[in-house]
Amino acid sequence: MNMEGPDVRDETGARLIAEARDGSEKAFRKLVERYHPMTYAVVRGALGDRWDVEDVVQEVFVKVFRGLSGFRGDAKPSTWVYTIARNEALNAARRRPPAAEPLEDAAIETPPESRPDEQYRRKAVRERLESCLSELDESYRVALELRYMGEMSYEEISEAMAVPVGTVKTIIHRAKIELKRVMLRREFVETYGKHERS
Amino acid sequence: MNCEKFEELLPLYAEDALPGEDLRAVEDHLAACGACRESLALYEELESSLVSRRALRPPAARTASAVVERLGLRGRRRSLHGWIGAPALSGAGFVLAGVGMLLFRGAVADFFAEAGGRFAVGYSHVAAEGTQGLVRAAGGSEWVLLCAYLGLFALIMLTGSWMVLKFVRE
Repeated sequence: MNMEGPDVRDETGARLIAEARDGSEKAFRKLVERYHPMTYAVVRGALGDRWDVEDVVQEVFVKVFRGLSGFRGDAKPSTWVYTIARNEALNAARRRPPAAEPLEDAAIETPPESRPDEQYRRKAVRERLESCLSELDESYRVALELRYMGEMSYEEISEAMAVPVGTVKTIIHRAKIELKRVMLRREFVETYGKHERS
Repeated sequence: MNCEKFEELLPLYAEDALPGEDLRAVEDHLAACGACRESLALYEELESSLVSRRALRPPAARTASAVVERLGLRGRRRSLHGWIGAPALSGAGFVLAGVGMLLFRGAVADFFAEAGGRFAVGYSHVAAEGTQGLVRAAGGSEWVLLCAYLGLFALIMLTGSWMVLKFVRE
């Protein structure tokens, strides 16, 4: 989704909803593709990596399809999809318990020139990051996921969450500081633990 | 500014989101402070790790296809009701009218001959002659002609229905 510039009111989203409601499969596909990054980010932020996020994301769009006739345009399309995604993530968390271990993600493509030790280091950093993210407050996690996983601008996040842009910036700023704190604490505990054992 | 205040600005610096004035102040401080350089390195690592996680997200087009499949929107078999829409019903009307005209062509011709002028007479004459010609071509059987007539109309109407439904769905 890229609503910067002339489409900050998400007119494209509203048009796609209208066309999909009139039975256009093509418009519905475009609608899914438009809001997929945001939806994936919201669900991932709310659930973490111990649920089948993609399955919940699909369920969100099934709900979006079934709700097309009920969309009156009172809220912005991104806010509407965001709300459905958030509710569905919470329902999913209530319906079933998380997996004991983090679920396997799709493999991240590493640059072909990167050495095996560099790849190993990147993987370790990412795993540590996932683990630290899970310790953050949910609002911090969702905001960070929207910004990075969802590739959304502060303005887009503000539209979707229906909060001022300044609030979004503050949440993300605090989330990063908190994430760094969690990482340092983990590092300290790991180092201290090693010394204790040896 | 002390390190604590710079700490607040480092996440923005790592994101390239600092305004010019603060940017210069942070760069001056970083040049002289090893602890803040270490802190910045961690924020930069965080920034690049968070960005790299985008690769975890499955392609949107794949999700769209899966959802369309899940909803049964693609390749859904149309029920018989789908074909008996307004176009098919109007087609059936045409078929019935055609059959009626064929069966009562004499009366139709008389009607046109009496009610119409030269054009109508000429039309009914041509229609009667044309029908007779088709009957001869069909081996003298009116039933063969009737079946051909029905088949042609059914084909036209089914094609029409399909095109209208396709247009509506698109």
